[in-house]
Amino acid sequence: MSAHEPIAGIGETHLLPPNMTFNDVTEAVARVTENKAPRGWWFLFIGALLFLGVLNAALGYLLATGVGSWGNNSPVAWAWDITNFVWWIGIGHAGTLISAILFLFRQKWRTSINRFAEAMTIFAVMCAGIFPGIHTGRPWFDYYMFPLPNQMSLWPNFKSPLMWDIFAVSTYFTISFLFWFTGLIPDMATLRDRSKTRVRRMVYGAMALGWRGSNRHWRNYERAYLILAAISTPLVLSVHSIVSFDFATSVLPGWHTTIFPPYFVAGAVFSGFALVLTLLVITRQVFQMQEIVTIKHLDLMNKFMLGTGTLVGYAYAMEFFIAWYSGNPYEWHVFRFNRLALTAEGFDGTMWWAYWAMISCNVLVPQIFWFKRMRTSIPVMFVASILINIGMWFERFVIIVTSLHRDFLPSSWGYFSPTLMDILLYLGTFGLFFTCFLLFIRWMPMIAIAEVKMALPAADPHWVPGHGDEGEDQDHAPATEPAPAE
Amino acid sequence: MSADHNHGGDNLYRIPADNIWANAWKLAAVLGSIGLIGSAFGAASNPERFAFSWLFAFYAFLTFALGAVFFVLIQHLTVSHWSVTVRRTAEFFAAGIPVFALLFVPVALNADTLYEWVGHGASHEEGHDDGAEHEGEEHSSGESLVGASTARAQAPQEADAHGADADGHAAPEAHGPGAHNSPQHQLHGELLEHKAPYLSLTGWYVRAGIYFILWFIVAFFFFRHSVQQDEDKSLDHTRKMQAFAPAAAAIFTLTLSFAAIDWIMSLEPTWYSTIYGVYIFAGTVITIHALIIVVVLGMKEHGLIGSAVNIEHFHDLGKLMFGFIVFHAYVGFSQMMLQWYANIPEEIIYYHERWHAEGWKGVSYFLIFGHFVLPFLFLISRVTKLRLSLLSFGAMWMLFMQIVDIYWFVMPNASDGFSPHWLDITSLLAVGGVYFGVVFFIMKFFPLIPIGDPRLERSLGHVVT
Amino acid sequence: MSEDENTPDSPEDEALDGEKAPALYLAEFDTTHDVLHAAEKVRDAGFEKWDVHTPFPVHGMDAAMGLSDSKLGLLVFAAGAVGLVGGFAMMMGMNGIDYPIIIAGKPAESLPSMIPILFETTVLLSGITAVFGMLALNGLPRHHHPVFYSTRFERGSDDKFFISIEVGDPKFDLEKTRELLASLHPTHLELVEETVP
Repeated sequence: MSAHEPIAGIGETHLLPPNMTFNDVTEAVARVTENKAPRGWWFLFIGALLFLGVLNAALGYLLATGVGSWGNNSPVAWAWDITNFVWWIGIGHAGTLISAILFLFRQKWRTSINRFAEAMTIFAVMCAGIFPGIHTGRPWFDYYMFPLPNQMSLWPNFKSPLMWDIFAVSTYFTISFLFWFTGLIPDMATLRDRSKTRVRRMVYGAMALGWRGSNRHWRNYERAYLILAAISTPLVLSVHSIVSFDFATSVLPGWHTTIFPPYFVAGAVFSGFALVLTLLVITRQVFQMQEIVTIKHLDLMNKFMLGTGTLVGYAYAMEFFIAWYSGNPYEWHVFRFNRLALTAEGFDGTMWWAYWAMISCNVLVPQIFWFKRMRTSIPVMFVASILINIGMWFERFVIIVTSLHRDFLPSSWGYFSPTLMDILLYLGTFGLFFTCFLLFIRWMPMIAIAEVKMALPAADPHWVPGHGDEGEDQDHAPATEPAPAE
Repeated sequence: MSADHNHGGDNLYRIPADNIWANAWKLAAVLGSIGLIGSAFGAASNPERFAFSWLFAFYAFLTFALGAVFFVLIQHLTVSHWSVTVRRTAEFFAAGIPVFALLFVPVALNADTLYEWVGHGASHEEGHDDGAEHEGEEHSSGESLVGASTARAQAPQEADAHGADADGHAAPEAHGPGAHNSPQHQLHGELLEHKAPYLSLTGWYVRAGIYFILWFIVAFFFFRHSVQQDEDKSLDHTRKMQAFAPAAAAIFTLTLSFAAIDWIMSLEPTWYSTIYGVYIFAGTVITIHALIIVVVLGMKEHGLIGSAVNIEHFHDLGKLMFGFIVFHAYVGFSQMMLQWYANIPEEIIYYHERWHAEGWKGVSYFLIFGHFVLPFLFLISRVTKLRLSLLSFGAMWMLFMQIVDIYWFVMPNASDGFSPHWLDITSLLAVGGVYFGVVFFIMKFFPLIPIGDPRLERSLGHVVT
Repeated sequence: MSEDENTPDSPEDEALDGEKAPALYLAEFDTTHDVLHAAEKVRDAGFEKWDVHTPFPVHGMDAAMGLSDSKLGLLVFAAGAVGLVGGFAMMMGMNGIDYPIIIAGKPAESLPSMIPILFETTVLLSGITAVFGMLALNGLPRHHHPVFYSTRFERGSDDKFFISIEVGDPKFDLEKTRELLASLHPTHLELVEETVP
C-alpha cells in the first residue's frame, strides 16, 4: 500500500475525490468563465453596482463638504474611518496567509481556496486604502505622504507610525498583486488554450505572457513562488503589526499595550478566514464546485477559525489581566468601566454593548467549532462566519472609540454616533469589493487550476494509473527515485 | 523502500549497550553533580546570588522542556507526518519535565530573596482589604479618577526611585514593612498592595503546583501513548493524541504565559508587558528545534537511527528554526519599540536597566546580533541548512543564545551592573546536568523512533514535494 | 502504451504565406510517470535545446532534465539588500541630514523607528525582483513560439505532457531523433513546422 494513502483509522480521508482527473479540474474551473453567468450572478452584480454608486456619491459629497460630515468630533477624533480601514486590511490577511504561510507549511488543501482568497486580499486592500486617503480631509494633498519635500522643503516624518502605514500598505498591495498575478500566469495559459473566440484568445493570451508550461520556466517559477511566499509571510505580519503601531505607540490607555502586534495579526487572519468562508460557501454552491472545494476544506477552515479565535480570546484576556495587574488606574478604567462595564446593578456605561458584541462574536461563537458536526454544517458555518465578521468590526470599534470617548479628563468625556455619511461610505465599500469580486469570479480562474492538479495523486510521478483508487505499485518506479538509502 | 527495516527485531532504533549514547547520562550526571556541589557551596556563601543564578538556570532549561512539550503537541494538532521520526526525541525531552518540579524547590525556598513583592507579606492582609474597599468605591462612583490621577502623577517619581534605587531593589530587606518611610516607598508599596491578590506567596505556590501538574499530565499523556503504540501498533493511540492536542495546546499556552509572569516578569513587580508570554514562547520554540537538530544529529552520527531522519528532515527543522528566529525578533522588537516609543517611566525602566546599567548594553547588543542578525544571515541560505555540520553549529549557537536571552531576562535584577558570577555556571551545570541526565537515561529504555506510528512510513520517505 | 506514432503532421494550414520549415519534435505523454522517465532518456542522449511541457510543475523533473538550481535567489537577495540600504539612505537623508526634525523627544536619526520602513522597502524590492526576475530568466513575455503551431499542444495546459526537441539542437537529426522519441512510447509524436517568411 502506498504510504500516502489516507489511513481511515486515524481520521484521514481523501481531500479531493480519488477518481478526479486533471481534465475534471480544468473543466470545473474554466467552464465558469466560458458558460453564461447564472442568473444569481447578475442579481448580485447589479446590487454591487448600486452600492458602488453609493460609494461614489458618498465620496463626492464628502469631498464637497469635508470630513465634518462624519460623526467624529473631540474627544472621538478617530472612529468609523479607521475602524473600516483596519477591518478591511484585516480581511485581506487571510488571502496572504493561505497563499504564503500555508504554502510554506506544505498544507496542500490550500490549493482549492488560495486564488479566491488572494483576490479578496487585493480588493479588500483597495477598499481599505480609501479611508486613510480621504480621512485627511483634503485628499488632493495626499502627496504629502510621498517622500517628497513640500513647499517648506520639509520631508515626511518617518518616525510617525502613519508613515509606516503608508509604506506597509502600499508594499502589501504591490506584493499581493504580484503574487496573485504570478499564480495566475499558468491558469491564464489554460484559458487561452481553451479559447473558442478570438477575443478571448487575445486577452487571455496577453495575460498568459506566452506561458508554455516549459519545465525550464517552472523551475524559476517555483523558486519565485517560494520566495514570494517566504517574504509575504513576514510581510503580512508586519502590515497588521504596523497598523497596530498606529495605536500602540501612543500613551492612550486601551491603545498602548505590547501584545497589539501579534494580537492584531491573529485577529486579521481570523476575520479574513471568516469572510473567505462566507463567500466560499455561496460561490461553491452557485458555481457547482463542491468537488474541488470539499466539505473537508471547509472543516479545516473552521478549525483555523477556532484556533485564531481562541488566540484572539487569549489576547483579550491577557490585556484585561495586565490592565489590572499594571496598577495603572487609567488603563484599568478603560477596561473595567468603558468596556466591560458590568456592575452589580447591571451594565453601566455607554459603550458596553460594543465590547460584549465583540466578546460574544469573536470568542464565544467560534467555540462551537470544537464539534465536528458544527464544523461540517454549511448553515452553521455561514451564520458563524458572518457573526465573526461583525465581531471583528466591533473589535476595532471597541479599541478605537471606547478608549477615546472617556479618557483622562472627565470634563471632556463624550460619545460617538455615526452620521449617515459614515454609514453610506462603509456600505459603499462593499459595493467596490463585490463589484471587483464578482467580475473576478466571472472572468478569471477562481481556483488555482495548476495547483489543484499538483494536489491530485496522479501528479506524483511515482503514481501509476490503472489500479483503481489504490494508487500503489512501486515496482514500476526505477531505482533512480530519491529514496533514502541506508 | 527503506521502510523495510520497520519490521525488524525489537532492538530496532534502540541504544545498544556498547554505544556511546548508552553512557551519555553518566556524563550528564557527573557534570550535574559538580554543579550541584558547587551550587550548594555557593548557596551557603552567597545565598542571594545563588537564588538568582538558580532561577536563571532553572528557567533556561525549563524552556527546553516546554519547547519539547509544544513540539509534540503541535505535530498532533497539525497532523504532521514529516516529523514523525524526530518526534520521539521531543517526547523524551518533554518526559523529563517532572525533574523541574524538584529543581523548582530552591526557587520556592528563596522566593523572599528573589521577589520584591514577597517582602509585603506582612502588610499583605490589610493591604488586600484596603484594595478591595478601594475598588468597591470605584464601582459605585466615578470619583476614583481624582484619586487615580494623583497616584498617576506620582507614578513617574516612583518609577525613577525604583530605577535609581537599584540597591534597594536587589536587597529586598530594604522593602520590609518597616521601610515605608519615604513617599516613594509608600507609593511603591501601594502598587504592590494593589497586586497582592495575584502576587501573594500562597497563590504563587498554588499556581506553580498547577503548572507542574498540568505539564506533567500533558507530557506523559503523549509519551505514554506514543511508547505504547511502539508495542501494540494500535491506531487508537494516534486518535487519542490527536483528540487531546487542541485542549493540550490551550493548557500549554496559558500555563506557559502565567508561569512566565509568575517566575520572571514578577521579578520586576511594577513592570508589565502583555506580550511577555508570546516572547517566552517564541524563544522556547527556537530552542526545541535547535535541540532536536543537535541531538538527532548526534544519534545519527553514532548509527542509532540509520536513515530514519534524512537531510530533508534536517532541512525542515532548520527552516522552522529560522522562521522562529525571525518571529522571536519580531516579538522582541515589538515590545521594545512600543515601550521605547511611548517612553512611559513605569515601562521604560525595564529597558533602562538593560541598556544604561553598567555592562548590560553590551549584552543587549550581543542579543540583537547574536540572537537575530548573525543567525539570520547565516541560516537564510539553503546551503547552510543542507550542510549538517553548519546547521548543527547554528543550532548549538541558538541554544547558547537562548541561555543568554534568559540571562538577560533574569539577571539585571540580581546586581546593579552586569557582573557574571561563577554561581551562574555551576547552576547551569547542576540544572542542565540533572535534566539531561534524566532524559538520556530514559532514552535507554525506548526506541528512538516511534516505530508504531501509522505515519512512520511517510516520514521515512520524506522528500520535499 | 503508444497508440499511434504518426509521421509529421502539421495542422496549422491556414492561408499563411511563406515556406514551412521543421521547428521541433513534439512527443505527447499521458502521465507524469511516463514523461519523467522519457525526459531522463532524452537527457542521457545529450540534447541541449529541448524541453518538457507540463500543465503543472512535476516533482523530480529538474533532476530528470539535468537542470541546475534556479539563480533567482541570489538576484532577490541582492535586490533586498538594495532595498534595505536605499530605505536607510532615504530616511537618514531626509529626516537626519537634510531637514532634521526632533519628534517626541526622539533623536533625528533613531534606528528603532526606522525598522518598520526598512523592512518594507527590503520586501518591496525583493518581491518585485522575484517576479520580474523570474520573467526575465524565463524570457517572458514572449508572444510567439513554434510549439503553439501544434493544435494538440492546446492540451499541454490541461492534462497532457510533452517533450519538445528543437531543430536547433546540435544533435538534432530528423530521423534519429524521431526514432529516439518513438522509442519512449509517446501517445503521439509530431514534427511541428513553422512558417518562415
